[in-house]
Amino acid sequence: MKDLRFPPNAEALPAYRASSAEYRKTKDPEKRLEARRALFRARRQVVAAFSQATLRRALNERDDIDEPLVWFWFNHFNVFWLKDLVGAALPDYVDGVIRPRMTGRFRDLLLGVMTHPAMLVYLDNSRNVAGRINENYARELLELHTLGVNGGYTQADVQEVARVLTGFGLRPLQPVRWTEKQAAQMREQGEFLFDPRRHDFGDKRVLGRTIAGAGYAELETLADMLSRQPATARHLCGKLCLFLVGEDAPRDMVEQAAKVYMDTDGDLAKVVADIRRQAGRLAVRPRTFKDPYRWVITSVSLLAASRPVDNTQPVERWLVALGEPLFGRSTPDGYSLRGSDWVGAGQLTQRFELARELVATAPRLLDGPLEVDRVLASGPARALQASLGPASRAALDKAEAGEDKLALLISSPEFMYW
Amino acid sequence: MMNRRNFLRLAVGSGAAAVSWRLWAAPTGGSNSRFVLVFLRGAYDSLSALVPYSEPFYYEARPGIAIARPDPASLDAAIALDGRWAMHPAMDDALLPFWDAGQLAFVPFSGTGFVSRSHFQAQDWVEFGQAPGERPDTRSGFLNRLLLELGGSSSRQSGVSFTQSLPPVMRGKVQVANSPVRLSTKRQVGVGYENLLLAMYDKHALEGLVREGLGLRREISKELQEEMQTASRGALPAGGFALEAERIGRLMHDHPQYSVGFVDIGGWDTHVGQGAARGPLANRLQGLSAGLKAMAEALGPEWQKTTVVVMSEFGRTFRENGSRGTDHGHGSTMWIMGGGLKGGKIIGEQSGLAQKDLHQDRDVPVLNEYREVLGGIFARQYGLDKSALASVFPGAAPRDFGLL
Repeated sequence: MKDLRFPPNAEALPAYRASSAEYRKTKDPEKRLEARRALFRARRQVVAAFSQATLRRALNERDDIDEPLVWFWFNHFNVFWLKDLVGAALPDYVDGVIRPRMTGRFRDLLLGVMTHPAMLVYLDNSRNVAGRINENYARELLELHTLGVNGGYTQADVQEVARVLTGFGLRPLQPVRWTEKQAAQMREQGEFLFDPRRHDFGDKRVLGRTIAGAGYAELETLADMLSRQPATARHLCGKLCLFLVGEDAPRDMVEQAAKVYMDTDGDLAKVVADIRRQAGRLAVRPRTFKDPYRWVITSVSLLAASRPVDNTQPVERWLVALGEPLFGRSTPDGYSLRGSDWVGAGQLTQRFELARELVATAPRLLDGPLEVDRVLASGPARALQASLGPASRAALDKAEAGEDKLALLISSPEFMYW
Repeated sequence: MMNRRNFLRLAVGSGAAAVSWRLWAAPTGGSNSRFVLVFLRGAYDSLSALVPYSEPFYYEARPGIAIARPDPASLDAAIALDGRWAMHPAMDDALLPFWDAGQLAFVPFSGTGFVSRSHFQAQDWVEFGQAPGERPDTRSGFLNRLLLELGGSSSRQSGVSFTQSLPPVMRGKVQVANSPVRLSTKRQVGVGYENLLLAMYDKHALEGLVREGLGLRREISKELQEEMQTASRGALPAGGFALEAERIGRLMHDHPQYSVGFVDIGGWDTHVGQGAARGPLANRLQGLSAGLKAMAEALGPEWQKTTVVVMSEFGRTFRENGSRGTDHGHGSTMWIMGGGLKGGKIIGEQSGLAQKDLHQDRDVPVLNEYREVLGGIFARQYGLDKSALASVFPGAAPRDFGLL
């Protein structure tokens, strides 16, 4: 069990589960513990390798305007790798569900999440069984993923949604012998299983409408219903505006985007395009404080000045230091999209220190020396310098070493906002 | 000593006399009370620290790792505190004087009102500090809500977190500065460069925060330099947490506006070979105890006004596991220390610890919810009224143990 290793892709989860089935057979407590630790290490290694790969895309596919949305939608449907097997399910969750579906209809994205082991395990739905309800996922589904906290649902709705969600979980490690009827009702895909034996087949009432007991199809009805609510449209568009436009996006921008959402039955590409169009027409876009992820990514991009970024390991470390590691939020709400939530004395001081480290480490990231003059002459750096106020300008002129100039540039108050 | 790091020295000695360190102005007396939370991440084995030595089942359930019954002739025996409880021998040197002086108390059977055996989830929930059945508001930790009740950001009383990033317990509406007390020297910013940074933020909306943050860093690096000078005179500074805790004590001593502090220590998740009177856990307990002592000493006269609470996210299993360690449990033991404490006793509700008394036949039950214990301390220490306490710990009924 010492050298367990899984590839950081869709293969990781089935391989991980096969190994953990193996470990469960071990009787000796010492060996069991060792096996458990090996599984943990392997899981952590999957997450580390996958984070590297994801950061590499974020840093190198800078021309793809949709790439940042991967971060947004993962954060919206946040899961945390430390919980059980979530780490092993992470690559498939991101690259198999979030990435391909985030520019389609919201309903399909939602359904993908609702049937993915990562979410079903993270929010305990794999333990949600007829007669022994676990409401955890039902509540977050309404509050965080669709309607929003004031989205007009009640505790009774949460309970009824939890009943709809009974039986949606993971394939057992041992093969199941289905009756003919069960075999017709069950659904299986990869490690996901809809288990009719654990499902509550009674009728449910959600948001004033009846969802007739029908097994798997109830999930599709629920996804349709939730994704078509105006509250969901406003909730999602509000968050997208925060992410794409900033903290003080005008209210009617959200309303307008929500209208596009409703008119197109939740076509996310059209919604995002509409928000970008509206933002482009703003006379002045209010500035928002960068969250750590945005600050690190834009800093590294600025220093890279269109050179490829090979080594992203230090980037990971900087995100940890600033309190926003990739895939590192433990609670289902995801990181705050409000820039002002990140403003703080410790945050700023750490950015100042990291700015110098970033400049010093850049040659390792870029696999070659940092050419200060070339960076300063690049388009984004020139635009930034042109935007500097007199105080920053003067400080920059006083800096003697070229490296200090770069570090000051990414430490400047102007660069702290986007 | 008292004026060693006062405002004038700080400004002049650092070559930044022209800079007004607004938040670092000379001490004004600040608040009368200080509170420091020491959070042991990973769930420390409370049954090795505070030993229920009168319980036969303790010795049955832990044949390989129990701490031996008090015995003055043995260095490896627990140190009796009363007829039922004893302290781990590794804590003895540092902490027994505090116990004897009434400056230390323990709250066994303490913990959370919810059961989670996941470290990260339990830590989050403890730090958010909301009612057990509630879905926590992740934007607000209980120490930040305490600061809000003490007057918020405009108040003279502020919070400080000696951590790399701001922990959930300190998140919220009140601005809290954070910095680890172990600074990496390669990251430190020189004075000339720092002045350029300050110049860039001159009159900017973030200027106050920048000054505050750089000021804290500078203070900490100054402590480090002084330690190095001391060391070069032959007195080696203590290692590990003791070193950190001493710095924290000194910083809090020198800055009375820091009325609420936080620090965390990891490495308590002892599933394998935790040892007994000696071993990995004993070493950690010794380091922690030495640290608490160092912090108290560094606080000097301020120790009289300070309360320190040590706690973990949950306890560990009553029985040892197959690897001479312990697994994730429920009830734990809180430590309360303070110069003004009327302690020297074990407080809170207690029950038996026979097999039938265990929670789910595996854990110490929780009879003293941590929010009620802390709420009682805050009420006494800061004179908070009922509604203020309800904002800090919604739905908790603070308990007064007569410690303060």
